[in-house]
Parts: sequence; structure tokens; C-alpha cells
Amino acid sequence: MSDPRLSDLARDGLWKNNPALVQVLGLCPLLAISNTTVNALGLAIATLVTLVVANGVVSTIRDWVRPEVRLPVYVMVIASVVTIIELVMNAHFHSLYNTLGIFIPLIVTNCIIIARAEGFASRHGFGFSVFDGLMMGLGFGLVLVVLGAMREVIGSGTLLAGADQLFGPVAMEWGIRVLPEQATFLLALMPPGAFIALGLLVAVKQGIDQRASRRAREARVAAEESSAGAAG
Amino acid sequence: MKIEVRQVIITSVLLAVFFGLGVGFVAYTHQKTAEQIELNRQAVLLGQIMEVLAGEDYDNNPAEAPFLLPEPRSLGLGEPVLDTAGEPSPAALGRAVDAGQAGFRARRDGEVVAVAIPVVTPRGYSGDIRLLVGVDADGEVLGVRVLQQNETPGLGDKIKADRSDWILAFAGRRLGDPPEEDWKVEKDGGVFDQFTGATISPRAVVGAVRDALAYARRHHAILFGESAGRTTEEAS
Repeated sequence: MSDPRLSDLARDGLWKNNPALVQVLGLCPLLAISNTTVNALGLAIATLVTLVVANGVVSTIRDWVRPEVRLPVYVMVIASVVTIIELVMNAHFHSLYNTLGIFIPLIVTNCIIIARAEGFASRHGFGFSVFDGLMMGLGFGLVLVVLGAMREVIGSGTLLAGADQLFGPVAMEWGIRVLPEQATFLLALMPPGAFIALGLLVAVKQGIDQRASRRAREARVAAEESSAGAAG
Repeated sequence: MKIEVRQVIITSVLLAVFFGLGVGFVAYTHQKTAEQIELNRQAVLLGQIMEVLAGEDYDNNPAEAPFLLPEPRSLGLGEPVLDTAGEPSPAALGRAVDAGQAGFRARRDGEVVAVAIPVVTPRGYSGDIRLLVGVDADGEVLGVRVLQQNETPGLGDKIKADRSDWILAFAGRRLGDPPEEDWKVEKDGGVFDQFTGATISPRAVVGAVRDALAYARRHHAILFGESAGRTTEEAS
């Protein structure tokens, strides 16, 4: 298979084929854990690291894994990576680990990871696979963090509250109050709020894409008209 | 046919090798992090115990002084994991701590001055609420903290100390102050506030604290009597 262009990989992961907004994979952690920015960021980083490492490992061993057993091997690779990340978080980011709880082991079941391992890393070289994992992870993580920030601002009226769980005592004062407590909207913190916010994000992306393609069409029509005019 | 068997063997060996590698890496990380994780767990536990025993003067580390709670069911802690008869071995006691069926003793000069006991109530708005209650030898509440809850964010979760001061109002109360029939939220004719928009969560917590105090009174001899038992032994 021919090598893909890095810029295409980046555009795919971040925008055109964004795991959360277009492929709509990994919704369970995406919706459940995005109630604060810090939670979202913590899970985003854990998912990103899992994607990069799993893609790298799968790409490295792809020539030795026989097709009949590739799925069990990939699942095993992903499960090991996630377990290691879980142990490290438990040891070094204990309070964040307690907040994220069940959603760290559940990264194993996040379809985006096995999808990239099977669909990309098993057919491409190490460098491309790691880069693809990085871009897909960033695309997923950005949506997660934006969703978390939206829900935190609307639902609790704060931003980055509890940042010390992730960044240590220096971040104690990072949390800021954006809205007064009376002006917050509880729905944003509840599961329906997560669906509504994600729906809004998907709609915004679609809107931007449609406007861009309409512009492109208009530009093409204009170009054709002017060339037709020149010919006439 | 022969080739097929060879294929199967090669594939299985490969599979085994990959699984061995995976297990190896996980085991290595586990070994490297186990100590730190245990330290974190202890620190969290000690922090919670210290909060509910605030104001009491003690000179031991209560996190290292767990004891088996008799009748765990009456605290909502589920079926007993250990037989309460006799002194449990340290390993068995560790199992009880993990299962949340252990209390913790605070001592001064070897005498038990206060205990921290967990209590679980199923009457929350969504799922169980697990509390830790600090009680001194006179049956007075030293402090109450929520260990685990799933109450509505922004409403019911104000029972947590980092969301509102509500839970601090228990400190200094006892059965009899207010009288037992007034251990209710105001809406039910009791003396404890509820907060706007949420009655169920405070009601559940008030009931659970009352249960814990009744439990402490019922089992006073076991909870606080350990050192007394020891002194009579020494005397005889």
C-alpha cells in the first residue's frame, strides 16, 4: 500500500474524519466524562497515549501476526497498554484516577482504538501509524475538551475547576468562575446535556463544511463563467 | 493436512509469545507502581479519617488501627465478610477493610477516645450514599464526610463538604441533642436543614448518621471497650 501524506493524516484525524464528530466512535466515555474540562482533559490524554502506543506496537508487530489471530493479539496489546496507563495514573495522579474511575479501563472498549489498529496501523509503517494515532487522539481529545468546557461553563459556571488533580498544587488557583452560580443550567451536567452539546458540535462542523463546499462550488461556477465569457 | 497442523502450532506459539509479552509488561508496571498506589490509598483513607475526627485529641494513626465492625448489616455494609467471633488475623482484617466493613480507632494514651465508622444508606436519590462518621466515646459526632455518592450534580451533591457547608452541621450533635425523633430534615419536622431543590439526599444522610450513632451506642463496649478489656487482662 502506498504511503499516505502526513497532511492528509492530520486533516483526517482532526477534521475530515474526526473520530468523535464524524466516525462517532467512543461515545460512552465522550459523553459520560465530559462534565468538567479537567476530567475531559485527563481522559483525552489517556486516550491519546493509548492510541499512539497501541498504533505503534501494532504496526511494529504487524508482519509477525497472522491474520487469523490478529484481533485477539490487538485486543491484548490494547488491554495491556490501558492497564499500564491505569496503574501509572493510579500511582501518580491518584485523585484524577479516582474521578475518572471506571472510564480508564473502559478505554479498552473504545472502538476508535481497535478501529485504528485494524484499519490503519496493521497496514502502515511505524512512523505513519504513530502519527495517525497522534492525530486521531488529538481529534478525539479536542472534541472531548471542548465538550467538557461547554458543559462546565453552562452547568457549573466554572472553567478548569479542580485543575490541581491533573497539574499538581500549582494549578490550585487555575479554576475561574465564568457565570454566577444562580445563572447555571443543571441540564448541561446531566446525560441529556452531553447529547445536546455533542449534537451542537456536530451541527457546527457540518455547517462549516457545507459553507466551504458551497463557496468552492460558487468559485468554480464563477471561474467557468468567466472562462466562457472570455471564449465568447 | 500436515502443513495445516504446522500452521496451527506456529500460530498458537506466536499467540502465546505475544500474550506472554503483554502479561510481562503489565506485571512489571504493577510491581513498579504497587507501593506508590498503596501509599496513595492509605493517604486518602487517613485524610478522610482525620477529617471526621477533627477536634479530637489522639496520638495514634487511626488508619493503622482498623477493627472489625460487628453486625455490618445494620450499617448497610452488606453481608459480613468475616465471622465476628474471635480476633481476626491481620490478613482477614485487611479483607474487611477492603470490603468497607472496618472501623478505625483513635487512641490517646492507649485509650480509645473516638472511632470512625462507615455507614451506607440506599435511600439516596440515585444509588447508595457511603458516609464516614466520627463518634467520640460520649456518642458525640465529631464529623461526617461523604465517601461515595451519585447524587444530582449541583443539587443533591451539596451533601459533599467541598460543595457546601451543610454536612458540617452534624459536628457536636448526639442522640438526644436533638432528641431522637427530631433527627430529621426540617421538612419532616426535624431540626436539620435541607437545601433548595433537594430533600431526598439530606434526608438519607440524616437518617444514616442517626443509624450510625444508634449503632455506636448499641455496640459501645466493642467499639470503645478494647483497651478496657486489655487493662483487665493486664490486671489479672
